[in-house]
Amino acid sequence: MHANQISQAMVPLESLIEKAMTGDEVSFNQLVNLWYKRIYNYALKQCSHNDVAADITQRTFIAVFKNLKKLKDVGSFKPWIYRIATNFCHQEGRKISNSKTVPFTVTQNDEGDTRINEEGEAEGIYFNPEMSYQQKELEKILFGCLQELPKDQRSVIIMKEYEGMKFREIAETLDTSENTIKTWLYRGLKLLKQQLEEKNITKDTLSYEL
Amino acid sequence: MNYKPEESTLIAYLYGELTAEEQKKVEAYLSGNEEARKELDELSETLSIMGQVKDKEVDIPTFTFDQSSKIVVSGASAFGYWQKSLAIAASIALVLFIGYITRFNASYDGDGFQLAFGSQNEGYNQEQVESMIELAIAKNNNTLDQKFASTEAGMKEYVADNSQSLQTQFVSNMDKRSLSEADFEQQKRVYLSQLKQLVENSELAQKKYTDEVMTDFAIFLDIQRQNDLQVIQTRFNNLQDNAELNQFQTNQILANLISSVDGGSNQY
Repeated sequence: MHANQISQAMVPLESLIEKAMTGDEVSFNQLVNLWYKRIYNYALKQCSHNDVAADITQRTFIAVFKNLKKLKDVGSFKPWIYRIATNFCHQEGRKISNSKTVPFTVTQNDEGDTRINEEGEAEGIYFNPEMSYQQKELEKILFGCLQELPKDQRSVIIMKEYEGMKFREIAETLDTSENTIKTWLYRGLKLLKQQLEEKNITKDTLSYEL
Repeated sequence: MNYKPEESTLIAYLYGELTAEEQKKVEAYLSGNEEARKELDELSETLSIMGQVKDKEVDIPTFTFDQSSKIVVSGASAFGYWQKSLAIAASIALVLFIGYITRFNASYDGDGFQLAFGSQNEGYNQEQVESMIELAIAKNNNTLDQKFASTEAGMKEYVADNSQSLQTQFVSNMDKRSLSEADFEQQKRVYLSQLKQLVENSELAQKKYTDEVMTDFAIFLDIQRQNDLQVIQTRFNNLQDNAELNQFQTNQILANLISSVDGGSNQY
């Protein structure tokens, strides 16, 4: 059923991409609507910074528009767009780690996102009272854990776990073999497990808290 | 059992992406290896914990492209991260530029912390500073003395000038005073003579007027007397006429009477 849904979604997506390739602004904006949230969330998990993620997302779509004609296979659009986004993320990651001015922490104070004020209450246009303080704190910690991983392992974990990509697609995105991807994923997960243990976050503590 | 699956295989097992044959092999390995199974369980747990992170909502901007293939992004947060960085960098560059323009210089050494616009000069020791202060005071005193002397000279000159002019003024005032007394006497004399003449003139005029009035009155009286005399003359004349008339009438009547008496007597 899952595969069926994807194939159903892929048919209009492919024709949409083909139209956008001709420079059709409407089709391109439809493409943006389909993919913007995914790329933004991908970039956000890569860099843990709202402004940087928004910037990366915009630059990704500008690059997509400029280079869409060079895309040979419409079917490989997904790995292709993730590759562009990943490159921008790694560039930003280098800048941030070189300058050491922006810490790897989640800052959710931009408009358009759920905000946490000093009292730990969510506010903003996406205000969701059900989202508890613990949930936000947990996300903060998990974002922090992701930042501490090597960039390839982080990319693989995000693509597999949050973007639901196939190993083949991830391999294409990162331009490496599927086996390497799986190994990175395994090692990345092990590192994450260690970090969570250090921070005393287990399934039991979570079920107690949440 | 020497089979030990690779990490990649274990991951594929975790995601259920192995072929049936491979899966059996891995399961067999895990059943005989409690440690590996525990680790795999923990990784699975880690995945489920990481699954707590939810997607964030985001405002989707609209991309528009003009003919020069410039891309305009609208609806997204306008002030991006890199723009902020750029703004900060520009501020720093401005500060540095101003520092360069003003030749700002800061240094720290054993003697202390130094800030300077332009090149830094070495500090002075106590003797130098003392001699500089003495020099400055001496210079200042000198200047003050000079100023004082020149001011004094100026004052003296001014006082001398002033007293001289006062004296001249006083003398001239004295002269003026005697002059004004003579003036006053002369004026007085003029006024007196004028007054005298006025009185004389007025007396003369009055006399003349009185004479005229007396003469006129005499003439009037004379005319009046003549008129009265004429009136008296006329009355006398009238009286005479009346007397003559009466005489005549009396004579007439007497005549008549005489004639009547004569005639009557004849008849009788």
